[in-house]
Amino acid sequence: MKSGTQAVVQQHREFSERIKNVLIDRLELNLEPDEIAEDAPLFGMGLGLDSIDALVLIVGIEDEFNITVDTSSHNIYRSVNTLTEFLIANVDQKEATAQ
Amino acid sequence: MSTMSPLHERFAAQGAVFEDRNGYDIAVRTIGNKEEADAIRNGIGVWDASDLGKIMVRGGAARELLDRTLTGDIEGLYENAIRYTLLLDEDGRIVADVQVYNNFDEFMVTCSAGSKARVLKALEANNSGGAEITDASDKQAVICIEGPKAWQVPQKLAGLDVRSLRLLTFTECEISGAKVLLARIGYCGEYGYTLFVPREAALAVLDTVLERAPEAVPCGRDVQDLLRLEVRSFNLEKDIPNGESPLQAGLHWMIHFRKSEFVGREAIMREKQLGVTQKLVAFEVLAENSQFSSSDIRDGADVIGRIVNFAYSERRGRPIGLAYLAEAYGWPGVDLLIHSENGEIPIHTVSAPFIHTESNRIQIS
Repeated sequence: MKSGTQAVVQQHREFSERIKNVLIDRLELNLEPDEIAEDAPLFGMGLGLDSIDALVLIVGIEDEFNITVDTSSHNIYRSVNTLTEFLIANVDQKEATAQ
Repeated sequence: MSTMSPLHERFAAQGAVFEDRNGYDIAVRTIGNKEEADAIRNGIGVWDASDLGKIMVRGGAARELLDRTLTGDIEGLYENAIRYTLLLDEDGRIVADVQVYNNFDEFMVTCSAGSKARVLKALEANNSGGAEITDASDKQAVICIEGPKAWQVPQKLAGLDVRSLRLLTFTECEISGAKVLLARIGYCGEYGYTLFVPREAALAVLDTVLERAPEAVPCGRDVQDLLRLEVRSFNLEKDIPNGESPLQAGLHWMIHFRKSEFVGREAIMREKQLGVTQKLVAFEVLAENSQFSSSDIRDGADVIGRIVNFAYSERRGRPIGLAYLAEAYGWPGVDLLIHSENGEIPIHTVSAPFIHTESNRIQIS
């Protein structure tokens, strides 16, 4: 595996794990991180979260990654993977890990 | 000889092309895949799913049988609610995806026509409590209505306040004098409703649907594969070519991990503990008009995965697909190559879904 690919995967893996922990802790889900698939829909068919959960999740993500998230951008919240991609593109790495 | 749907006549009148699928004569195309996809993505599409397997499970032991056999939480399934879940074999491989309808402790299990015999066999094999299991597939026609404007149809048909019909719930109503089970469940990422109609009333109900919703377009089955792929909705016939497990296919949400018993549980918990070796991952082809038939995916010279499902998505503007990749590669943002007879074709792994549907943006008003 090329080192560039390895770095992409490693970063994605780390962000996904943190997002899953936010989901589980903030929404008090009776799940372990490896029981959430990264591409599974968070809302509707999938984890079945609702609009109240969405608000709690946003606050949790903002706290964990020290970022302000646009609540109208529904596409960010489709899955752990879509959230991860958004956060990788928008989070200041040093600041996020310092939290 | 193929079994004919009670709706055959109307779809034939629309010029539908029929093909035998699992012993049923199915309308596979009507006005063309592009036009049918546009109807379901932008308006309302209607199709015939009467070949759907429908298995009734009744009696005091019904709930316990289903809970002990299927991966999902049937014990906690409310009345008038639907659980979308899985049947596995003892090795944890996917046998079928099923929907369980709880109609006041009388359960209907629906599954694809191709998997019905396997579902029946598994239920009967686990039926130590004496639940009554009957194949009711031929008793009802099934009409699927899906699209960003599909939510208007139940209102027009039965005067229902559809805002009260939540996803994965159902109600009974009367349409054209027939008692119809109306479920809110879709497959293409749009507002979706499924009507279970007594066979003898099927034509009258379809006529009423098309009369009250004249913009609805009768569609065939083939377009479903693309529409499901675009939103990464599970497709049993495409996504599981070699009996892969739900953990590999990313269907964790269909499993109730806290349950002490379901067929295949031991294998699933073992795989969970060891970690999956491969994952089903979404990818897009970087060149717009690539042709390929090979299914091997490489990183340099190493084969690290294989394509299982792909199609050209007009909405994405390029070929898209799903591939099983070695776990170390099974994440978005990775550049890889399809090794094809025409040379190497670059692909890029991405997050699912591939598109964000109109139904995700609009609110039922």
